[in-house]
Amino acid sequence: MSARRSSRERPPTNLAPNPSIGGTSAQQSRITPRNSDGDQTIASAAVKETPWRTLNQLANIPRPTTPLRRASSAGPPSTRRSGRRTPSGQARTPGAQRILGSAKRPIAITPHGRAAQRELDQRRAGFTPGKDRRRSGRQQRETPLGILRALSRQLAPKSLPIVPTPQGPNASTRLNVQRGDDLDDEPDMERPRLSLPMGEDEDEDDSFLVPPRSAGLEDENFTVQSVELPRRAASELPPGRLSRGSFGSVRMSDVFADLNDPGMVADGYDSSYLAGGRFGGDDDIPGMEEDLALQGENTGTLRGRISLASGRESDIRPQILAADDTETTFVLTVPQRDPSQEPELDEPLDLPNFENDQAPDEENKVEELEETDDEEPEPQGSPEGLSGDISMQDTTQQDVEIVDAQRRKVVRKKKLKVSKHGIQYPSLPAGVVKKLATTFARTAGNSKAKINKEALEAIMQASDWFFEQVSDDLGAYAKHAGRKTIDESDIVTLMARYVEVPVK
Amino acid sequence: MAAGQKLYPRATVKKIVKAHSKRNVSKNVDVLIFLDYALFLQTLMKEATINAKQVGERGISGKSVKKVTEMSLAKFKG
Repeated sequence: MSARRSSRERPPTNLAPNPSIGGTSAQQSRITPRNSDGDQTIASAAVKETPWRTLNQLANIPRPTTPLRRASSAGPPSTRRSGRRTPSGQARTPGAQRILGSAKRPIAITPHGRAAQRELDQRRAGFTPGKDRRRSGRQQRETPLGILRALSRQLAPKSLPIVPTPQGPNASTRLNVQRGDDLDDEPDMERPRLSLPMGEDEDEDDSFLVPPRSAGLEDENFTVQSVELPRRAASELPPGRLSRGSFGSVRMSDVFADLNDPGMVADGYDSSYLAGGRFGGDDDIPGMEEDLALQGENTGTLRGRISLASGRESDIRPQILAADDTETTFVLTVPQRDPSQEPELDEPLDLPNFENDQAPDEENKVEELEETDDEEPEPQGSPEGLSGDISMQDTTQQDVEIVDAQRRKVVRKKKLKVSKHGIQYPSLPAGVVKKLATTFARTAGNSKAKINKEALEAIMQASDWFFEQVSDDLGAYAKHAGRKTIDESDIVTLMARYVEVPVK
Repeated sequence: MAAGQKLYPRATVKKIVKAHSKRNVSKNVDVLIFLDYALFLQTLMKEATINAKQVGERGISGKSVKKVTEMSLAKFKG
């Protein structure tokens, strides 16, 4: 309706230069608030003439166009203000709106401007629910917060959630950093593992529990490494703990002589020493002993070859036994029967702990069995010989266990081990290792860390391996640099080369 | 660790390294090696603790130590 009215009132504004009609109406509308409402009031107000009004009139005459400008420039703020103050009130009560609007209206001179203002007011009052939204809208336009918000809206669809960087590049950066820096940075770079991979190798553990096979780290696959590699005399190695040989050099061929293994013991004593290499890797089949050729191949040691071949055969093939009678006893370590055996046993085997004193008690028993075996069934046939074998193996098993236990004691007493260069070396004192390990275990989260003997043993073993590994590496670096001494730079090199292995 | 007590036998470490590398060890290297060893032991114990918890042991057993030995050594391979 206001628009219509404005169109109607346009002619008077056009006649603004004429003071009597358009000018008065415009001024009245500006001065008296009530006039803005209706044409009748305008007309009535035009009749009255006060000196103040005439003065205003005079003042306005020279600039007839200014009101329009003023209306356009000053109008929006006034309307905005009014709209801001009571938008809801205006919408609800027209009366209030009228009063307010009239109060502000004087700025708008022409009826067209007034109408436009009213229109604006109504529209704003009608459409805007509250001032808050408007204000927020203005803020959005002006403030840096608004800019940031706009930026975030732009970026939001494109940006992705942060994914932890994979291990590979991380490791490489770590390497770079370390090259630049000192050793002191090493601990900082170590990242804590945040999660416990649960149930990762449950079955592996189960399999570990069931057969207490050799004491070496067994569930790893050593078969590839053990192929075609020279074997070490196992007699010098304690079965539970390998004195030397870093992890890389530990093969099944080294571990083969573990006499605790029930399956292995069944094979017999001697085989574990000399021909045992093949038993360590494979399953222990007593029948395998029959092969002459196999034994010959497997015994890399010079001393063992002859005695072994004959000894093994004697158990199962009595016919051949007759030929090498001297060495049959070697299997069961029976010194009494043949005087020639004893020197063989002591010298070639070279066992520090293996002494004849311990054996005799058991050997006497064994002897009886063996004698019956050897003498009677030899000429006849295998079946009896086999049965005798089994009984013999039982006794030898006990034998072996006893001897083994004694050997362990001895090894524990003597702390010196021999490096691959033939130099004896001690291992770190267990007390120091235990103290350190307890501290670190406590750090690792096990507050009441208890390290039992078995664990300490394993830790000591790991320490020995570690020192060997480190020393090898350091020696290699020093050698490469043409030095005879290991320098600090070698250690820097060593630690700079550390690469974090992704945890499996 | 008590301050007055010796942290570790320096001579022993030196001997060990000397025996393995067949080379002389210069002045402060053994200390650095021992520090490296301490790092190794830390890793080892951390892994062993994790392993032990996985299996459900209360303390740290030799088994769990042995299991993580290879991995820990591989980390400290130069």
